[in-house]
Amino acid sequence: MSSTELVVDARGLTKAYRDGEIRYPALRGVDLQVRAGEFVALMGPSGSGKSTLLYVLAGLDRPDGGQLRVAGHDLPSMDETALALFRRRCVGIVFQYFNLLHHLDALTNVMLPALLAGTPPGVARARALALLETLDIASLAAKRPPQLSGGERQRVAIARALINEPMLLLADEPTGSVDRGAAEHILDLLAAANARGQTIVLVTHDPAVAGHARRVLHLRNGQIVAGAAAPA
Amino acid sequence: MRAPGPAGWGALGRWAAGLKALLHLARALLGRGPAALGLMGLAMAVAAMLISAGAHVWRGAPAAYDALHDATGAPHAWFFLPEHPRREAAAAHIRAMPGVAAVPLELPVATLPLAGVGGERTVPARVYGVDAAGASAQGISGFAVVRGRWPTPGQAEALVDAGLAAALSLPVGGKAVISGLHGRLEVRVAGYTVSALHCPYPDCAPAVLLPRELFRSVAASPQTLVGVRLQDPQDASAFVFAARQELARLGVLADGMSFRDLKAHQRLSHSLTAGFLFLGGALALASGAAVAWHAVAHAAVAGRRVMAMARAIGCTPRQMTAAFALGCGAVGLLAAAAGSPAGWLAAQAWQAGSFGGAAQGARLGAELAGGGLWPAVGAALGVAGAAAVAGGWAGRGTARAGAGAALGAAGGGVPVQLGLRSAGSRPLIILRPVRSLVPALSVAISVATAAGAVTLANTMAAFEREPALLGIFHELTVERVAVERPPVRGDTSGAGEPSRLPPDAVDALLAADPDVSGFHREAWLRVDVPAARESIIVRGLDGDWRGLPWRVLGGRFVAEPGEIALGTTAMERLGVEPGDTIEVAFGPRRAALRVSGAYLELANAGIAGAVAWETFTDLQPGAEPTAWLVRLAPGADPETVRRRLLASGGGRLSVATAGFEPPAAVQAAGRLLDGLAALLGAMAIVAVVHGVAAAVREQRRDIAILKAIGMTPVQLTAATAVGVAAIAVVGTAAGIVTGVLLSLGGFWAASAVSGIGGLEPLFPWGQLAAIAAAAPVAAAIAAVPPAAVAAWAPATQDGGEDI
Repeated sequence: MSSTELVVDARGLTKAYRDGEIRYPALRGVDLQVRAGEFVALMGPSGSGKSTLLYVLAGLDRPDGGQLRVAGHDLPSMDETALALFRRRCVGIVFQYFNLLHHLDALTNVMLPALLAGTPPGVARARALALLETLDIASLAAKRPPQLSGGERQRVAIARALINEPMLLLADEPTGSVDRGAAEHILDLLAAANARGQTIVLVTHDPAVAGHARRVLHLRNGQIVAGAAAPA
Repeated sequence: MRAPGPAGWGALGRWAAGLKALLHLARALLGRGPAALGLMGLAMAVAAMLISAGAHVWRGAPAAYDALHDATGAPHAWFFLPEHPRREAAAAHIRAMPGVAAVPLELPVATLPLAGVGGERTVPARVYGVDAAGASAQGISGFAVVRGRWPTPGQAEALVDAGLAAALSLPVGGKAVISGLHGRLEVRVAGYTVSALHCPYPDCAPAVLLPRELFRSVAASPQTLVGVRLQDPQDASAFVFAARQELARLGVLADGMSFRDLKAHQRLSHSLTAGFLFLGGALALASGAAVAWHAVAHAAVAGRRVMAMARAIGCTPRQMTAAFALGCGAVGLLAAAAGSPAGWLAAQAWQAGSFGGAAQGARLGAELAGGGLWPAVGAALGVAGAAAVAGGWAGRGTARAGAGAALGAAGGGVPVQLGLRSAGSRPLIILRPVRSLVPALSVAISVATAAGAVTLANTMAAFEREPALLGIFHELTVERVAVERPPVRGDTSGAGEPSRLPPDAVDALLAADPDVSGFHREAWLRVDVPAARESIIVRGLDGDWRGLPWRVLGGRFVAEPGEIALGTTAMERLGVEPGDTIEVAFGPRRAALRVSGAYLELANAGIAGAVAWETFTDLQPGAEPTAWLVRLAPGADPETVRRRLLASGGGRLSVATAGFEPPAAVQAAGRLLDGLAALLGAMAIVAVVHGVAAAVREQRRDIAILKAIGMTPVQLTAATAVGVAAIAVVGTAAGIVTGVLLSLGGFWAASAVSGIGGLEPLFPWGQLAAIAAAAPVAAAIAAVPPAAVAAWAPATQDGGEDI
């Protein structure tokens, strides 16, 4: 994919949550374009809609209205199976609370998306070990998530997100549950991945974290209020 | 520092406050799964009902016999004195024996065939001649009227055993026919009786009471029943043995029994029923415990934030466990409180049926209520306790988890199981339910119950189809009937005298029938074994019996005179082994017999033995066969041959179809097991469906993660279904093994308790294989709907709070 190609092309996205008769708008006509190789940070206070936007971009949630193409896929028109295949092949997701499977060791957690994608087990294992080596946690491959620190768990989660070499890496407050030292390490890893050409969209409320991105967008009340346009 | 309690209440107040808090907590937690709790309550109620009923039947049968014995002032020991010149002297001898407190019973008695008017079936009954006027005024020792009234003096009326009346469908006011020496006597059924002198089996010559003047018209050579009450009833068995020995010295060979024998028969007849009830209760209890486990697991997941809150405000893991135990125990107690009295009432109804009538049954029920409430209370408390233990045990692990983990923070929370297998180049992902034990137990219990039920049904059907499996080799039983005047055309010898067909004539009749392929003759005798101070029944075999496939359980069957083969209970009671020699006595005659082996003996609870005819006549010279056991040619219709033999016998033969007819108690227990299998099967299906749904709910975080990394709904559904099926395979295997072991154990117990020995289940392997194949498929199908619902929901819906 060339660096001028749009990986994310969102126009007029809307999304609301309902609690009985009460409707809570989360996204109010979001326009967002992200090109290949970009590192974009979405900033905003709690309740601004940034996590909702990330879930919509990941195909974990569906917009109520608007147009959305991610990695060339028209997400609103896809069914659950197609969305699952999209997530498997096109995106990697890093969550604030890691969301690792506790009864699998770190290596198997990382291998799992590759296995789902049909990668032969030997190849998946080699690729996962290489990623763990890159992230400096190869020695922890046999440990299960409860035996790891927060920073170590998040590095395992990043390795899992990267194993299928996705077109888009989505990170939701990736440093929100780790200490400052671990946070710096994680951000350096994301920056390094971006330097290798990985497109990244990161959600944070911390300006210091957002400072690692090349472009910072601000959301407020479900709308992007600054820096919406993709750079040429 | 001790926590402060309510002012003025001290330690009691602290306990009360703590208990109230735990109840609130239990309600908040367990209230989230009312369906699971309801299911648990149903299982526990069924368990309490069955266990309570089993305990009451077990305790109640001898207790009710005691009540009947006391209420009728029945004798402790009684003797049947045959017609003999020294009969009066023998009776006087009994009356004068040491230890005799009173002689309340002295009646003439004869065994005569009885049938309903127009009925096909004839049953040998023990007919007593009674003083009807005296009986109406004072009753008769050992007999009670349970419906209707005593016969009216001078009227052709009879009081008929309640069980016999039920077997022959004889209503009060209906007509019955007694075939006596002087022809047929038609009587009106004045009422039903139960007797403390008769064993509870319908084939045990049940009682019929006739006014004495009518009795004399049908019974030419009656025996005399002499019943005595003893100063020490516990000496009854020894008294009977000693009295028989004394009478033998007088030359009078009398049969004798004690109330202890009858009580043992009562326990024997009900032990099988009680055993089936206990077995059903245990299965239901296991099912209830499994559901309790599942209910707690469900509550622990659904209420984890409640638990975390409680832990945050100071609730200890032990208190959390206690809350689960308390909640499950309370539900179990409520269920048991409903089920246990139902079992008690069912046992009373059973008892009333066993003793034949509403009035007496109700009175015996009242007897049971006076001192026999504890089984119901015990069953209720036991079931509630089991529910509490199951709940507490299930909640223990969850309660010990850290408060933070319970809150679900940092990705913690409930434990999950996810199996990952590589099959070639493709991964095989299996989602196994979190608490595999619940669905596995549900499947195992239902499969075990089904396996036991089909095995029981198959075995009973095989016994009916092939009675030789039980040592029954004949299709018809022929006996001679004594009549006043031989009605066979041309036979005028002995006209006017009571007579029977000579044995040779019966042989000739049978040999002439084209459908009779063979027969052998039998006669029975009660003999004493002085060394063991026991009495056994001896079966004398005559004719064509040596080639029959007797069911030998040890050693070999009788082959020659001077040998005896014993039933298993007789073997145990006499304490002998094959190869030993026993001395048996019948009156003054004694014989040393070598024990050749043990065999399957259906008669007299296995307290019997078989000898060759030569041995039998050594003990009782001049004995004649009493029954001809007839085998038919292949394809012959037993009913056709029966009618033909009846006709050719000219009214002097009684011919009955033979074969295995399960006792009423076993039939009822079989129906009970079928019903129980259906109930437990339904509960197991509900439990599996509910359990899988809860398991999927428990796995929602994993499912959400797997969706996020690209697992499709079809893959998730299949992974869950395969996981459940894998567990069901294990549960099914365990269930089949358990069912087979239960069947083996059940038949072993039935053999031992009944004294028959050697009963073995016949496994329907085809049906068991079908069950084994169907159960995992059914479990997997049950898993598909909840798994599909979870898998097709948007990824953030199920795991939204976690992701």
